[in-house]
Amino acid sequence: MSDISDEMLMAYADGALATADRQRVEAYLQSSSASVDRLRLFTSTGTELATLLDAAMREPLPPRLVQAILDAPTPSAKITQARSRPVIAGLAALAAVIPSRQNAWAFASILLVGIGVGWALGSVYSPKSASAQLVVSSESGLRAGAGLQRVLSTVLTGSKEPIDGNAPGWSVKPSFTFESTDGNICRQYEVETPGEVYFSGLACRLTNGQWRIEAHTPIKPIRNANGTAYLPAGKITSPVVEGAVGKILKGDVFAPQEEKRLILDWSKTAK
Amino acid sequence: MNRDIKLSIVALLPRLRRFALGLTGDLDRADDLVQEACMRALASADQWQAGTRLDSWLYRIAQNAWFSQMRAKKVRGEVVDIEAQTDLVSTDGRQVIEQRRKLAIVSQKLTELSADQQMLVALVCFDGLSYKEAAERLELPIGTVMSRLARARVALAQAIDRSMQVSGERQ
Repeated sequence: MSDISDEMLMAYADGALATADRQRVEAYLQSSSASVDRLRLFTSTGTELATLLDAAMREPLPPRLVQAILDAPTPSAKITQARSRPVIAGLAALAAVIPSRQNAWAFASILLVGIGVGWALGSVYSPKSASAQLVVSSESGLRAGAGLQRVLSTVLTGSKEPIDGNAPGWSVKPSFTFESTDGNICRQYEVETPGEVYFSGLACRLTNGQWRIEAHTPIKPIRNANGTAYLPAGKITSPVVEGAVGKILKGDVFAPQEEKRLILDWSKTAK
Repeated sequence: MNRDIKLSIVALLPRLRRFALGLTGDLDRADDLVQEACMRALASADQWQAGTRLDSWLYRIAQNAWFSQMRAKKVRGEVVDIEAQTDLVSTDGRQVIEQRRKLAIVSQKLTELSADQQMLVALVCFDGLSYKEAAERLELPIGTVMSRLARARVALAQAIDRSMQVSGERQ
């Protein structure tokens, strides 16, 4: 019975043996407990692994991944700039990088750097009018500019809205809305620009209706061998923003109906 | 032709994504890898010969892209924190966490195999090819494929077991 090789055990585990060989292996397995342990090495990397992958694959293919491929330039159709659209990070993906309490101070310092970098890049890459539409400095800190203020106060999650007619190509899309631990309503957002720079940010609504910027950072697209820039389909929000969300997230994100009700309330207050 | 190749790639996405998930152990990373591989493939679409297997070509590109990312991570010293997955308890439940933890470990241990072994494991265990199909794809004798694959799977399973034990003791 000792002539049963690893290759044969593997083929048995994978259901790839003919009847006669299968019976030989089964007799071998009954005669030796060590052989059962050996077999497990192949089932764990065969059917068990396949089941594991099947379970994880239940999440649907991101439509934007398909779109990115269909929009991609090919050698005979040179396009100098190709952009896939940003993807909203799911809460599950977000939670995976939420920092522990011990890392809160580390994240706080990163957050400041993030704001600094984001601000600087915003100034470099954007026309002044567009930059001012996004983030402005005030005595109490950074707050949303007029364009971002309008989008965050009126637009539902997932809808992309141009920030201003004088800044063509600049748009903001709220990613999700939640209540913070200090009772404010906060929204994560994404900014698309006409260039190859994107931003991700987090803002919280104050009692006076203004949105205070908690984080605002550039997202650098990946470049392929061709030099073409694109955004990864899986997740584009930055660890800085995700960390900031993780620090203040209370409970779950709002459902669309809850968000609609909030926006309606805000519009009544503004009138 | 360009439109055709794009549609062919889109049709292959579910399989390519599964292949990438096996390599990366994480669906977000898998989607990123799939996109990077597809973009690389499309950027050099003129090098692909019609009539040859598009899936093999894409898998090879995805694997090379993954190796590049792994090398870059080594240079940067980035570490995949498997334990961070426990943060998902409130949203996904323990079973999903356990599955993700196992997948992360599989992915991590897979990188300890040689490139050829990784490709074999990915083709047979992730993509579900038969030994014969894998042998044809890699242009190797089927006996060679089986012996290499068996060695790779033994090494992988033992490494995963050790890692799961260590990880379980920490919890």
